[in-house]
Amino acid sequence: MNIRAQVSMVFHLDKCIGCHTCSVACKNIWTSRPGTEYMWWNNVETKPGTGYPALWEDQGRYRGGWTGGRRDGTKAKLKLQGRAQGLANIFFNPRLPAIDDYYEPWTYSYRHLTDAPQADVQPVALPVSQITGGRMNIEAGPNWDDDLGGSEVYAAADPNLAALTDEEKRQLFSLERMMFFYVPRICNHCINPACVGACPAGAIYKRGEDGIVLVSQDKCRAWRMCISGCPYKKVYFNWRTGKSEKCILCYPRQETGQAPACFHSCVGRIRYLGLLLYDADGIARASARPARELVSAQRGLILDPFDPEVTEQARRDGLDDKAIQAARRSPVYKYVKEWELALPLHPEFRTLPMLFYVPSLLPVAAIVEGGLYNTGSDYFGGVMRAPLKYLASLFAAGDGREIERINRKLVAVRVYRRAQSVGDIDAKKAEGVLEAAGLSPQAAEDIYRLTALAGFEDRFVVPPFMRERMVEVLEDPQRRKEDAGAGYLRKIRRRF
Amino acid sequence: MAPVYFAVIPYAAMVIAVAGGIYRYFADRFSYSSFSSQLLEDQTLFWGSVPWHYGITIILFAHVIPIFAPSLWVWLHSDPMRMLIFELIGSALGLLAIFGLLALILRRILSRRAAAVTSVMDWVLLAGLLLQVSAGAYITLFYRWGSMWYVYTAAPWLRSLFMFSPRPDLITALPWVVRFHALNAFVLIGLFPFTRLVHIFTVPVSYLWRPYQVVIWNGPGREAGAIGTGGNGGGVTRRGFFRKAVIWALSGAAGIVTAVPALRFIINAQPLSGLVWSKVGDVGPLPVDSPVSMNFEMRSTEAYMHQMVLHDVWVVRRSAGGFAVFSPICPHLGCHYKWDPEMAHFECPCHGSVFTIDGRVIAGPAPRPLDTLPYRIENGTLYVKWERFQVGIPKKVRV
Repeated sequence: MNIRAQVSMVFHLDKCIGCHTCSVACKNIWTSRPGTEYMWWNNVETKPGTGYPALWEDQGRYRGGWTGGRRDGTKAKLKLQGRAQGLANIFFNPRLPAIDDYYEPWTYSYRHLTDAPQADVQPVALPVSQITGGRMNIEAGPNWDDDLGGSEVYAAADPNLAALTDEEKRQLFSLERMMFFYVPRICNHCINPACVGACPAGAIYKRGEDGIVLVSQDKCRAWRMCISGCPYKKVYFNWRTGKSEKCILCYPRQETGQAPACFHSCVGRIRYLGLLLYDADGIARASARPARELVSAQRGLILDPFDPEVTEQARRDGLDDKAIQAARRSPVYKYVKEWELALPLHPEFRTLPMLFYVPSLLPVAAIVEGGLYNTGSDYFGGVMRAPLKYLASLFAAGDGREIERINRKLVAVRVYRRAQSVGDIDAKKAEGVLEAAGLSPQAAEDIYRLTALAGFEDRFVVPPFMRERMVEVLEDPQRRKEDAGAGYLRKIRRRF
Repeated sequence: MAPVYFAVIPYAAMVIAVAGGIYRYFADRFSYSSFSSQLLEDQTLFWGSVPWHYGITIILFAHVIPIFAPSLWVWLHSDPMRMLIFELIGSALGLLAIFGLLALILRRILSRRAAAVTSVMDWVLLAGLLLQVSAGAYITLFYRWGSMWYVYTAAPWLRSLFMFSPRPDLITALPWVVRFHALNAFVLIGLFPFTRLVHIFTVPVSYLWRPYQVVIWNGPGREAGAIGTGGNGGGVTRRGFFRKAVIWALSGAAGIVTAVPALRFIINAQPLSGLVWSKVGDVGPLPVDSPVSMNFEMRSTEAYMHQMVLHDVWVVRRSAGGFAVFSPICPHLGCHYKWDPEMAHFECPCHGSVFTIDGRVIAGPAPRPLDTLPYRIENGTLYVKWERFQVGIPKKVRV
């Protein structure tokens, strides 16, 4: 066993209102520099939708992630290319999204509003490209298909719909049956990151203490393989500095005791941040499991921080006592391992992503019978608003049973709480529903509390980072954020 | 005066490239890469970058091999058919590189997005490269066969530069395009630290064997590693001072190592080391009036280097009695000529110069007869003094 800690996040999708506050907070802090205008380290996508960059989930096109390889992971290969092929491709990366797959960043010629010569018509501010500085037509944007906008083009192209039959697709886009939900996405800080594996220069690394994946700006040589290798397209190319950049999980904020900006600004309070302990020796084996076993294999990697054997080994592996304490209080551990309510996004990419999502139940009011949610066997038969297969394609590598189990639990907690707070449901019946979903009343109570009532301190549980014991202690990581991003301590000027 | 350029400029360029390159690596590692614009423009880039890089890389290797392994190169080209094939492959790669370079230039003109990330130094570099490959193509076309005469003319010059005993005289007799090609190459080398050319030394070969995952521990928990982002703030800390001192010491040392021989050359050009008799072999079995190519090893001492070089000579036992020993290098442009037993004459495959068995010119552009070498015979064994002569001129002038 080789125990490492990972700062991990849970997104409770039922609480996400799609306000994009997280994206804006992130952009204002990290990607407001020239060259990063088009980057959204945090973005919120409407599902079904094509996302950002367009069709990022389509690995036939981008070849992100890993192939299964052998069962023990020894022959694990990047879907992108072999090692020698990687060198042969360094002159031109055939799988790189172009700027138009994201969108051309723009501003408006505001100055024209005040400087325009006298004329018969009002001056207008026209869109101006932030790359060339020239006039442009806006043909795409960061949330082009927000709230199913243009769904016949964008949502209809969602790769996850491949799991559905034509009839199901037709129903999904009929007005009465239409559904959508939001998926906020940041870097997954995977424990088997494909961007790290794809980087020819070895510039991307995972921090041992907290698992945050970072791009060393000094070592990055602009081969751009990380961008193709990452199946989530969460590494971006700064066209002004010629370096790859990505979500840094706000480590400069975390190191000073603050929550990540996206987390902190979340209006719906959908995010939970906490530590997970996992067995690094099992990574290769877990990521090589058959697709439908991936979720349980990943869950198996996550270790119980209350197990004395685990804590003993964790100490031997250099984890601080404070880290172990934090892992015990981790809300993420509860959602992912204890209650098994949260799932990784697209586990079939085999990077073992360490951000988890509680799948959206969506409004289910239409099937209340006599004041009681119908949770009988027929409930999941076809009345559900979001097709199981669709959610399974997003969060469970196509295994609908995972989603079904979680939905049962989510519904059971609602039934249980209604019995307690409104009282129009028989308590016995409510406990029966709980039991059928595999939950104890105590667990239901805990789920309810952490989901609905949790304060900031309950949702944000990370250990102190002991910045004072690290290298380069006296340097403020935010000093140069205007130049090349956080952590870069030197003034950057790229002349040639 | 002119020959001095061919010693001073190369060394100046090398000093700038080595010292500047090292300095930039330590002082500004952030910028030590090519500056990709594929995100902004990826249509033309494919047709530019791929042919350019593959073409120019292989051609560069073909320029370097004859400098360090001339015997191997001569052997590879000893058969005319093989030589033609090599010439053909080289020309094709050259065309590929030119095609790619033109595409790269065009996209920086035509694509507004690519133009937005193009610097002045990019244009300087592109212009220099275009001149270089154009001159190379011109030489390939009009001074055949470069793969042959290069080994005997420009390659020894480059070799003399690397041996720190520069011999600019070796290249001055060559046509002006060749001299321009040679000088411009060093101009490009001098541009190295000021352009994106530095990316040549960032080729990530270690990717072939490094483990896929990279984990770095910052804290005292496990093997603490550097944080990777590095760098120093404004004030001078002890660490920062040490760092700067190392940078300067390293670049200074590199500068001195390359600059001293250059200075030595300017102040006091080294005379040629004395000629020695080399044992060639037994003359007993040599046929009459039928030239034989004989190989021999020559031990020579140049500057601080003791080395053994393999040479060959044409030896003729004359029917009138006595011998003739010819240097195997065509006096025209330095190709390896051959004896044609059917026609009973020497013929150079590069430009078709034809010589009699006595070395007289019958046809072709050769400006003088074949160069004879001094020899003596002791107890039936042939000894030869190896010498080289300037090519392309009517007078036999020792170099």
